[in-house]
Amino acid sequence: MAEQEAVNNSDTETESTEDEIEPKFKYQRIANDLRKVLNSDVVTCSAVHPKFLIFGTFLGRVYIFDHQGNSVTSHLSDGPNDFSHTVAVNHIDVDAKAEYVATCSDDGKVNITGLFSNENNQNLKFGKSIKAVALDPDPKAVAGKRFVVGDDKLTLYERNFLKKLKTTVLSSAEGYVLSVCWNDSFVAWASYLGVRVYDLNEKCSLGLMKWEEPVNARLENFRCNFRWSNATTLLIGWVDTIRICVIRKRNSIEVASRDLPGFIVDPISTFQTTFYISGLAPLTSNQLVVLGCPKEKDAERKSLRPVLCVMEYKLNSSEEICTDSLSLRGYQEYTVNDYSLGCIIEENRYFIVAPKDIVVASLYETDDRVKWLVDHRKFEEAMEVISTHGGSWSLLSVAKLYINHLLALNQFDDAAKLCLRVLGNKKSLWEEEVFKFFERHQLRSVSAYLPTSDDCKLDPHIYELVLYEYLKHDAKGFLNLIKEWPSNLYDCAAVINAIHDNFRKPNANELLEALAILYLHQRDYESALRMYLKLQNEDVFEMIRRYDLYDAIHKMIIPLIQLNRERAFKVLFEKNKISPEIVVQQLEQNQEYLYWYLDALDKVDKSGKYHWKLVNLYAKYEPEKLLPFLKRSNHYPMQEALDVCKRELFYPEMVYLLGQMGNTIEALNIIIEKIQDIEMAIEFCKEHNDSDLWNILIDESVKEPTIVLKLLSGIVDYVDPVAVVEKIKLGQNIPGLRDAVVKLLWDYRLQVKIRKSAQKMQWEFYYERHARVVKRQNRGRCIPSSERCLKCNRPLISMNEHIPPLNDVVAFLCGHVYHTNCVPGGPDNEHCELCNPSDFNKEEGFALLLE
Amino acid sequence: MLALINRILDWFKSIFWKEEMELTLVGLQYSGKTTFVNVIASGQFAEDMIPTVGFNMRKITKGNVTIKVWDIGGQPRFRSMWERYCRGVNAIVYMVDAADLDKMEASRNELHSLLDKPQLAGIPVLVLGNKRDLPGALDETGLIERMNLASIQDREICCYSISCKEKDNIDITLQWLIAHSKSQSR
Repeated sequence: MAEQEAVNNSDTETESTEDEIEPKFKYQRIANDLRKVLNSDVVTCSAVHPKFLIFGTFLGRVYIFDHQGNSVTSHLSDGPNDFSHTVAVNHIDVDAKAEYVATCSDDGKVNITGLFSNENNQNLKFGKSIKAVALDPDPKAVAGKRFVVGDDKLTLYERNFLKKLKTTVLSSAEGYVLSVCWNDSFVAWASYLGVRVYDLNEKCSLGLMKWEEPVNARLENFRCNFRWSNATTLLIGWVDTIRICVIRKRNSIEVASRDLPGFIVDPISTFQTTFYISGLAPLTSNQLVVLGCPKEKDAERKSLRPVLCVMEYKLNSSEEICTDSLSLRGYQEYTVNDYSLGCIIEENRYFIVAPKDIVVASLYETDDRVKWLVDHRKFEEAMEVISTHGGSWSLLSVAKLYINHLLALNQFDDAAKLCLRVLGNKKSLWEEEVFKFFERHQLRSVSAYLPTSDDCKLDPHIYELVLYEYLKHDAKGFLNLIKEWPSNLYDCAAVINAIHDNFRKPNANELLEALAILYLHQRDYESALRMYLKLQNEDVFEMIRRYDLYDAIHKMIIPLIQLNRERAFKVLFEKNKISPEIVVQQLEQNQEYLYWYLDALDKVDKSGKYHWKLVNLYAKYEPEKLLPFLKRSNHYPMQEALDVCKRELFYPEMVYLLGQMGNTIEALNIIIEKIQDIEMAIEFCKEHNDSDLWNILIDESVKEPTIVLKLLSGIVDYVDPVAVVEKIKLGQNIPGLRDAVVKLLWDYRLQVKIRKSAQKMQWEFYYERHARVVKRQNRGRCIPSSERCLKCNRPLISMNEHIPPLNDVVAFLCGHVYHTNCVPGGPDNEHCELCNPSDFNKEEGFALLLE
Repeated sequence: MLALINRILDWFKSIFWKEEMELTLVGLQYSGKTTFVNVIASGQFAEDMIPTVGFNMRKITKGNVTIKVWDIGGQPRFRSMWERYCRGVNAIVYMVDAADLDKMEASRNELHSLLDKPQLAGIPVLVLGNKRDLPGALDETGLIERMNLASIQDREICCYSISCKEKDNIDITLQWLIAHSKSQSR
């Protein structure tokens, strides 16, 4: 198994800091058999394949391991001696079908070894050290048939069917081939001049890409790192420069006219790194993973830790997304060329190959990210990652950890909100989490978020527990919950009992109200009402209306009125709900309330059933309303009312009653003697207009000179003032009498004038009318031929010669026309028969007279 | 000279009829995977095999079909890599020790968890119940039931009871494998 040793240095050093950056990679050191090899040998190069790893060593051995570092026996290691190297292996390549492995070494040998058979193995000897070899990457080609070797020239080897090798020199005279990378029909290779890409199909180079010589060093002392990230994209990392090239088809016109290669190597991005590059690989479409070695040295001139860096590149610029310093074994001793980076692109699996250490870096997957975030208490982010990327962590499991974390921090409210957010309608989950709050006596924090809907109802005990905690600690909150929660969530009786057990005076109001509500839930309306009344809570009225509790309040009418008279009456007067009899009976013991009630009742109920009671009550509580009431109402016994007034000495009321009863004289006497208001007396007299009354009043005036003046001015239209004046005794001194008399006389004159004017107007009107009548009667009148005698009903005037006219015609002023003969007495008759028939009938049956 | 002619003939044959397939052989340790490879490769049965560490790579030619076999170690520490070796192969051969009833459940769980991997969806599976020569070994029906093979619906699955020692049913196994070589299965 891989050894769990911290590889990522930054991870251990910055553990404590709060805003640690989320790592991009997880690292795993490959151990097992590989470890044993590393103990005695040094890895110089590697080739990684999804199914195995191959390492070449300084001692010239080639090992194959599985991905856990278990050694696998193969033809590579146990083949004939001819096929192994004697000194450092420089490069290893595996073909696409994982059948052949090519190795080259400083011993001048190139070996092509079959993993499954030795049939087509090749063993080439060169007289010089070989740095680069590449196998045909085409998966359709026959395995091991073609390969490229780079010494001081680049040579393509092809095996024909007789197993003979045919060589083709692709390029020469550019110095030593430093590295080769083959993809499709393109071979990228590097010499001390720079990088070239050779097109095998067109058998030509696509041009030289010159590389800048590093300061104080030679280019060929750095390994050139190639990687084909896809069929047409070549990544080059050399010294401290990364260049990304795309192989594009050249414009066909250009190709034809200028005899240029069909493809062009187009560098789309070039940028510098802060470190020397040991290897690079693609991460995403615009991100690279780069293994690098810092240019700087430490104080003892030793190397610093190598870095694995994620870089995002744009056009000729780049950004380091994250950089991990790696504590690889023995890093102080090694430099840039000692490290290399292997990669399985489709798995995003990167192999950091150091001489004494092989570490796999794999992308932090969703689960790793979640775990890291959870470990660093970044639960929100963890939950976000889960909801966007999924993974094997469940949102709920993280949420539960988060809730525990918040509870541990005493952030109960946040924890409760989280519950609401993540627990949804899952009853069992809620019950589980709520219990945690219960243990910390913090049910109050979560209460507001508990599900209360019908589709997610928790166990009633939970709600009761919450209520109980509130009851103990927060009576107000308790009440609010009682108001808020549907009553079916918990057992009302249990809660009522709990209130009774925990009743505390300071919270009496809240608790009583809660009780009231609970009683309501239990449909115990009377108890509920009692609670409200105890509380003096005016909601009681609303409650009565809402629950139609009119029958339950009979015995509570007085307290209700005490609570709020107006609203109580409103309830009492609700149509047909409570009969006044019941109310009156209840209120008998409290006359004042009875008075208020009846007074209010009078405004809505016109039947006057209690008017007699009301007379008494008005007399007692509000005498000024009595008189208008007496005038308004017809429903009280007058005599008794009078008695009441007499008893209470309500004179104006007595006057009214006496007046109504016809006892005007007594009434007047009361006015004069008791009220002593002469104007009222005068008004009274005017009202009843009785000469006896006037006389009493006039007699009275004699006694009291001041009255005279008022009388004189008030009575003009009713009684002859002379009567008053006559009563004035000689020598009596009446102040202001002169003015009064003058006014009186003026009044008279005015009256006379008015009458005269009226008479004149009347006459004028008469004359005018008369003239009009005469004028009309003087007008001529036409008698048409068609008109008939009103007597004989024959035509008055005959036009027919054969029918002679009967007679002459008589026309009366009234407009009626007759034959002369038809009218008795002819034209001398004084009356029109129609207008004055009496005279006519005496002469019946007269004959028609002919003229 | 004769060798040359043979080689030319082979070459012609390989051009016109050669077919290739790649299969991965997994199963619990001591079920006989490496033995099976040896038997189909050379017909040799050896009683005392050393447990496979990592994996073995073998290429077997049967008629015009070349079978590339990844024979993976069956010990628990290698099981996490099974998926890696099963990716992209033409068939997965799952070896079961039909006589070891105690390990049957572990074997079943490993098979099902392997086949649940999304990367391996649709790859045909051949379950071989080895050691049918031993007393008490399950036959095909017993294996199908104990391994709960009926629940695997998303791929082609087949089960044979074989004996590497007696070379029982090795021929039908090879027939099945050849039938799933590249050209025939695609």
